[in-house]
Amino acid sequence: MDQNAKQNKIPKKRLPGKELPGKELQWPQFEVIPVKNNLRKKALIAGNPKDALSRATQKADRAMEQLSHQFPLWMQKESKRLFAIRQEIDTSGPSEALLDRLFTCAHDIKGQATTYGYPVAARVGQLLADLIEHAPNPCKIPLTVIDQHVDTIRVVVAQDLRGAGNAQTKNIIAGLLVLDHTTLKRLDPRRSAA
Amino acid sequence: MAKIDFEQLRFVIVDDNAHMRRILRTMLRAFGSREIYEAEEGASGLEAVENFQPDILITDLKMPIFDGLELTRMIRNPDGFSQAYLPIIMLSAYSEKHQVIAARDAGANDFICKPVSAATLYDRIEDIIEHPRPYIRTSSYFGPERRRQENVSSGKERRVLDSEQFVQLPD
Repeated sequence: MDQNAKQNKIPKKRLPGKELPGKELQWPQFEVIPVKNNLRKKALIAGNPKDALSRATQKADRAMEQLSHQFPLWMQKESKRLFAIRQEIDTSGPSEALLDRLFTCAHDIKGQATTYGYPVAARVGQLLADLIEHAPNPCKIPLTVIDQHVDTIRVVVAQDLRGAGNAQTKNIIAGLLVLDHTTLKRLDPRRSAA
Repeated sequence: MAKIDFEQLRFVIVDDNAHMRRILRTMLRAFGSREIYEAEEGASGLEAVENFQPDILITDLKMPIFDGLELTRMIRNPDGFSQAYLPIIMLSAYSEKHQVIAARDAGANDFICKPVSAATLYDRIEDIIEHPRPYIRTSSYFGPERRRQENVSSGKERRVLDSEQFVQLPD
């Protein structure tokens, strides 16, 4: 076969077969398909990639700095959204749908609060999201425990506590960790100690 | 040496959080991209991909009703979707291994944990363009090759494939 034909051929590879009782040997097949996107041709131009990366990220960081004056407002909105869902739980009682919304809000805070300059709020959001996600029945989580998380986030935002936090916030987070662990153990006694 | 011309690239961003979409849009514009389309959940994201034919899709993992995993699986359907080879970057506040594996097994090219930095986003886009991976099709998976590491074995190649096992694919 000529060289071009050989280059266009894709080997049909045989993986080790599985022998099944009473059946023929089964050979799983897979197909390797060469890259179909042409982004290299479209988007690569002559230039120094390291310089380009450095210039692009510096420009992006400057743009983010300009955007950052909105971050406290965005963080307040997230905090209010979290509290509003908590209040809805008080009004309507805990339900799967409401706990799911609370989880989504806490999950969003976990993902975004650090960007907004509130890493402590991000950490507490993570703890609340993990608590709801790992509880066998989130509706059974004591509301006082949920309140500890929600109120911590509200205080962090209300007092504009930016940065990694101080000894006090570290103690609060350590306390929430112990509380979450105890709560999950109570809700699921089969859960082993960490 | 080569660098990326972001003006040539078209993006679709899918995230249910408007602030997150704003952050990504800000970063991509700063990189130089001019065509950035947005959607707030999976179904409208799929529509946006069909309508705008992006070069790269950036999607959140957790979204209500129709999430990023489902969106990725629907796109990775070479028999039913016109852009099955679309590079997809999954973005998520999840960092647990099983979530990353789920994104990989759904067919995502890459996974970025939030909070996302401009340097990380640029780096992943560059990697997708500079180092495209072949696509793999099996009975249960279609998507970019999931192995990222090259085979570092220095031993003799002992696999022997005869000519009957080569299949000529159409051009």
